[in-house]
Amino acid sequence: MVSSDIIILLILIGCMAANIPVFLCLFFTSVLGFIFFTDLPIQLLVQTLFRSMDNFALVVVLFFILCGNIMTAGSIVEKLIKVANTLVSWLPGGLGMSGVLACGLFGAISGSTVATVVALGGFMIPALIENGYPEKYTVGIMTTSPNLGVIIPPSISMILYSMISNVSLKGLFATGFLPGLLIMLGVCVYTYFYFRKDEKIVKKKVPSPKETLVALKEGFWSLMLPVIIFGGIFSGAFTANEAAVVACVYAFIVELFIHRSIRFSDVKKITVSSAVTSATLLIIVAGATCFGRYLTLESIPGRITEMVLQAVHSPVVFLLVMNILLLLIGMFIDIISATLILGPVFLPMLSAFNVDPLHFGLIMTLNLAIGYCTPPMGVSLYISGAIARRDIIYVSKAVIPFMIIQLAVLMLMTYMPDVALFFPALLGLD
Amino acid sequence: MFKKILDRVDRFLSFVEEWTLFLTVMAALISLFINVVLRYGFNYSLAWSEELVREVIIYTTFIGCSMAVRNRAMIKVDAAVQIFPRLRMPLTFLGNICIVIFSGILIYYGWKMTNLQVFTNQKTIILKIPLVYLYAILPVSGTMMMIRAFQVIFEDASELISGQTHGRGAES
Repeated sequence: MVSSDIIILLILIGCMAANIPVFLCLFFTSVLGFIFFTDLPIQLLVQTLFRSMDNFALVVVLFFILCGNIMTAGSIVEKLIKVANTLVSWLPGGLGMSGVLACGLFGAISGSTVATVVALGGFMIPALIENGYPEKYTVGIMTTSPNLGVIIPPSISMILYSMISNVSLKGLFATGFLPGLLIMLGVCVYTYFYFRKDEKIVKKKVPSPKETLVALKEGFWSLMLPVIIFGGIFSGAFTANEAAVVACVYAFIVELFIHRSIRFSDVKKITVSSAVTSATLLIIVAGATCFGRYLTLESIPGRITEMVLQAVHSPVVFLLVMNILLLLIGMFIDIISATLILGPVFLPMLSAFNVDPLHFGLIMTLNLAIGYCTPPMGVSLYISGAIARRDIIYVSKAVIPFMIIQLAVLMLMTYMPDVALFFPALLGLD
Repeated sequence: MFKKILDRVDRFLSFVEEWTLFLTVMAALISLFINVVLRYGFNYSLAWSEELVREVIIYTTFIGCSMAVRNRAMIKVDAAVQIFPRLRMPLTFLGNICIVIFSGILIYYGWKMTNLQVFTNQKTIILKIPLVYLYAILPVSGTMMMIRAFQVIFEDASELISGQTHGRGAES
């Protein structure tokens, strides 16, 4: 590392720590780098900022956000929870299981974590406590399960990773299902043994086939949404872009005409708020492109790779270092910014350690997602702490058992690439 | 008086932002959807839809940013504020001042680049939209963002002043 690299890195970290919007941290750092360490004009950076948005692939981000927002504003989410509830609520701790299932189903349509905590946490935490579930368990499960929103595709961070690394988006999406399902299974098993002998919680009767049928019928239109998205993408009928567009149109039609849960006047509000959310993400893409431009101009990733290669020799150690580093970073920085900033730095190292970029995409997504609820700084901890009116220490203790489940899945996915890449291989996408 | 003007500007900008975002996103959604239908139903595809969508992305991102400044929705790293709640106020001011500087850069260089397009008179390949209209979004959104940032700074400052006269400035 040259001293100029370290100065730039410190400026970036300093800006971020000072609570300056992430895209500005990236943009200003590259402006300063351009002024002090190169003789190129700043106009080039503004040009890059503008040109980086001239990219057709970015539209998929906008439409998956829109789709998630339509569902939250309407009644699709509510109906998904109901279906999950009918299916598992008769088991010991069934309501907890349905919470995690609903997070998974929601994650299968939307792409973000924090939104899920708000959408589902606000609804599930009071419901669980009302039914006699211990508060600690409730807070723990509803703080950690929203991670499924990022892990289970479609996931915005995966979309952006595939853009910067050129791995197939379909393949990356395919890797997300297994860890998602394993985490859900792990949480359900834990819940089952936790409540097996508990008499206090409200027990539900096993639903009759008729009741199940009624619930499924009511939730039919909502359940078709993931079927359209994934059926379309993996059968090759739609590209990811088209799937997102069709999903939005479908969700609008269902909510407007079938569920009748939103009015035409709501359409504008939902569209505008989705456009703003997507703008806040895409401007980070623009900022990261500027920063990436500076990095490549100064060939900084190459020097960092050299440094890492001198210190680390085995792939196992490399992956372990990555796991710890990404977990720490994920605690502070949101998954989108982290993916965009770190991706270009880490990607050149992969071939030296024989790590598949597709596999690494999954590792990165999982790690950064878990970082969201890692004590003591994860964002999810603070959000659900605010919902449950508990302090950070209480929430941190509550998430520990669930963190262990997620970390176990992470380890499995990291060190057994064959297992992690099983689905993409099955689909012939690796 | 000053507040009244600010309210008017706020309403005007919100109107422009909301309708731009709504119309552009809907245009992209509908044209892409029609494209899917045409591709499946009639084995035909609209050549211009991809170009239109790329332009929509540019517009929504920059106009959306102006609105995000207003709604304080920009993504930040919150760690410092969570550890030291006292820092929230000064750091919010700092962030907004940075946005003012950024919008200054956007206006200055955006203006230069837009002028260049006026001279060269380039057009997009399929829709033949003059690039001037695309590049103009830089100075325009820069101006909007600057006004929004000043608006937010003004809000914070007046809240700070009224908070101190009520003797609870330390909490915020």
